[in-house]
Amino acid sequence: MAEKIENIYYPMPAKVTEIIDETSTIKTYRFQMEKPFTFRAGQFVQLTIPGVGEAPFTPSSKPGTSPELEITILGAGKVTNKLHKDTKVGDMLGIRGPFGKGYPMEKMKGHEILVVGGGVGLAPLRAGLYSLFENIDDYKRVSIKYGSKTPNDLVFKYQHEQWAKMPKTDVKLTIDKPYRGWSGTVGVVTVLLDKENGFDMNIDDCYVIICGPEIMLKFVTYKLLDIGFAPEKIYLSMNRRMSCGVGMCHRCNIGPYYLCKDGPDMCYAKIKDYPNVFS
Amino acid sequence: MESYFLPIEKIGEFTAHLSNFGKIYRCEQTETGPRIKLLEEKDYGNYSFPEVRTGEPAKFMFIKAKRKVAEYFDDSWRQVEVKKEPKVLFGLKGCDLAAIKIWDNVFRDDPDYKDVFYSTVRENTLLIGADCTGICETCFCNLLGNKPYPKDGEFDLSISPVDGGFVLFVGNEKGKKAIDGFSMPKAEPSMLKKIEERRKNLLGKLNEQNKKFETKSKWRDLVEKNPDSKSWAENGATCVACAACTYVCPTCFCFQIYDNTCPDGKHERFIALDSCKYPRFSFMAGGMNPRGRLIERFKHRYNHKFFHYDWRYDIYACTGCGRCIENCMGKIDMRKTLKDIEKLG
Repeated sequence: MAEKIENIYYPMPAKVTEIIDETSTIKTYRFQMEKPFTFRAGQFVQLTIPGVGEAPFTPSSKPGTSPELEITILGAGKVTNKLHKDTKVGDMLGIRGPFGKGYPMEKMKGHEILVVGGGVGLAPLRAGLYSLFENIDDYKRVSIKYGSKTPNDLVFKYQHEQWAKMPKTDVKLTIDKPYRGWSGTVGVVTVLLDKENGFDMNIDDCYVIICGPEIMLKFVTYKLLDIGFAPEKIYLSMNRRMSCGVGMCHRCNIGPYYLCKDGPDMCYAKIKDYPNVFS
Repeated sequence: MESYFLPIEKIGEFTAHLSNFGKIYRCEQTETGPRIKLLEEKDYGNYSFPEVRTGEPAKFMFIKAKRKVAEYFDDSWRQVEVKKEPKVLFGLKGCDLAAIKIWDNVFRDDPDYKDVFYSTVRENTLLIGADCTGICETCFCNLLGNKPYPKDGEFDLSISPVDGGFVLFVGNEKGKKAIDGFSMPKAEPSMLKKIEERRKNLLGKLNEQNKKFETKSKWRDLVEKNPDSKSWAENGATCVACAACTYVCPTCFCFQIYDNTCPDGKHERFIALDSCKYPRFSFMAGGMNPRGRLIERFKHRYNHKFFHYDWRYDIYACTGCGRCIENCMGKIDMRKTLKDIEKLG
């Protein structure tokens, strides 16, 4: 009998065991995988809603091997809106992956790490934070800068304090506009990169990982360049429309790079000269 | 390379012998031009040899425009053994043979991921090449280093017309095995000489036809280094995003995955050929579209073929078949677009 070959298009069953309301539009789904699932921080998966379709997400849970997986999702399109509307605990969804290379955790060792998130963009970064905290001795420091529209749109609120207490770690938050009851920093997340708001990273010895809406990626990148960061030190989570996940369907490219295969976390120096880096 | 003489009156018998390998799909001259035909046994002996490539590309012999890739969660689709349906692809011209390599790189030869469906069909197909004996106005294989005849390494067997029949070239062991047991005399040196002359002559005609499109720079350099060339707007002005070019292209493989639930509750997953010319090709949830403008998508197709693909695989994803030119309702000529980058800057 001929050998059976792995079908790269088949989704593995993943049972929804918990749904956490992060904000009015963002939920975290916890899945029980049929067998332990292994991924690196920043790698992504394709989540299937049976009969509806797939969408790419970077898990927000702790990287490594676990029978459980968490994905934090904003309702924004066909698949995610259907997910928020109809999915219940106990439902069986599907997962393909993991795909991509993920964050350059090895390369970042021995340096200061700046983590910049916007809105639901903190979700993929949380996997990176778990990795950083687990090996905190390998890094000089971790600084988290996180912004959202309003205080109600901040995700993982229940963890911010815990992160701030981690050794060599600080957390700074901002919201876009003044809001009743908010006494913290106001302004888009780039304001947290101003010295007057306490920005004190050693730019020459610092790597940055950024995730958020594309407009935020754009302005954070420009700001970082403006204050002296080298393009080689900036890593962007470019979670564009990725379909196959394996570099075949060719819709997620920036220049010759496939975000699904060569990313989705791309070094800005590699992509900066190609068209449509920020649409 | 081993070569034999196959007399024209033996073509039926020869085709019947090949049918031991699989079903016969042969490129034939028909009333509507050269077409790939699935032959019945009674037609084996009636071979109308086409001068040029077929109207449709050979890619549809390897994949359907829409193909089912999974039923979930049905364990039998987790690992699959695709049903083998051996076939003989008889008479592919050089441009279509060269295109197969472009697909192999992506779907079969990636060290990490293999499309089992494509790979199985590919392994169960016997490739028989054929010389061109004429050229179309849109042919430009010569500008890409391809030839109007099968190149070594790209076919299992190939045929080249000579007086009274064909010379049959054996490309590899798979080809040799397919003709094992079929007796033919060796080809005469005079036949091979005539073939050489005809090939040289035809290549000369192609060179002459495409002389005005020759560029000093490599096409990759032209595309990669000139994203703002006037040529894009000028030549892309008549593009209506109909996607005919990507559909008839023997190398265009971009696809989308979509799911469906059957009335009985079964969930199916399909892959369908897509086109980078369609507005929603890179459209994302939330409304962002990195290539929302048609001119960006027009450029993207050239970039994929001559820059991105070359960057990754060291070969262009274009074989110069000219079908995109032939089928473009906006009369866009790829050769001219590229030449104009150099000319207009």
